[in-house]
Amino acid sequence: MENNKVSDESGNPRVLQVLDELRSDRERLAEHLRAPKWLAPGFGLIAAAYVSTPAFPGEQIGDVVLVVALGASILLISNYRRATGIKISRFGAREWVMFAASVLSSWVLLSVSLGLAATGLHGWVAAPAFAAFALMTWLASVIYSSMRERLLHAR
Amino acid sequence: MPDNGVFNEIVHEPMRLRICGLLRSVDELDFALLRDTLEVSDATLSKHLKALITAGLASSTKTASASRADSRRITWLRLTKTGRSAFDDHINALRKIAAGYDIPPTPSSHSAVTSEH
Repeated sequence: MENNKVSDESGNPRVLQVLDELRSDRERLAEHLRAPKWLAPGFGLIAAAYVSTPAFPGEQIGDVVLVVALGASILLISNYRRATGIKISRFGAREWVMFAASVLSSWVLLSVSLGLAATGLHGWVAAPAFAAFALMTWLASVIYSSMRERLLHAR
Repeated sequence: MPDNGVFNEIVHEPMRLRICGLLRSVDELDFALLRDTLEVSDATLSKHLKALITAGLASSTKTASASRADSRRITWLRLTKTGRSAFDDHINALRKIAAGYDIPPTPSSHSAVTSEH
């Protein structure tokens, strides 16, 4: 009987070996998913530039920096894809949480910068800018590690 | 997806199964990276990719490479929606077999299951 023929191969080493081989391939691929050293600091610099905008004169500078930051982010992602040979655009739950945290923290630090600039402490804007750099660099690394982990454990 | 999965003869070939397995876990992969990960020659990978693309299970796009001075391009490979579905069904069928379940025969499954790989 046709069904029995299939069933006779149930649990056979070959099927398990095939599934193991697929897992091994993913592990090898995950090895290639090492973030280039410039990637996380790159996002850190973008965040720092955005947070430091209140220190610069002119009302349009914030918009200009935001547009440049978006362009730089796209460039970073594009270069990362070329460098690694892998495109992953889907975020998992953890990555979305980290991404939301990075956006929120940038806004909070921008508010601090605005407050400092409003009180004439333009030089002190460097402090939240540095904090933004450190925080964003760390968050970008965490997001990257999470994506790599997800690739490793994909079905 | 059917509960017991569906065997797909094209996907079941060992090298094509590995190709699909790697492409399934990402959006797109560079041809060179896929070749290196699978440790096969360009010709072997091209042959199997051609079969997948012809069957409508995978697709490829080429982009210019800024890091290369010559006219070589990066070839990005991805599974199509049909390809993702076929691979998922096939893996589901394999898992059922590994767990000892019967897989209902399909027109294309008999030769795939009983052939030596």
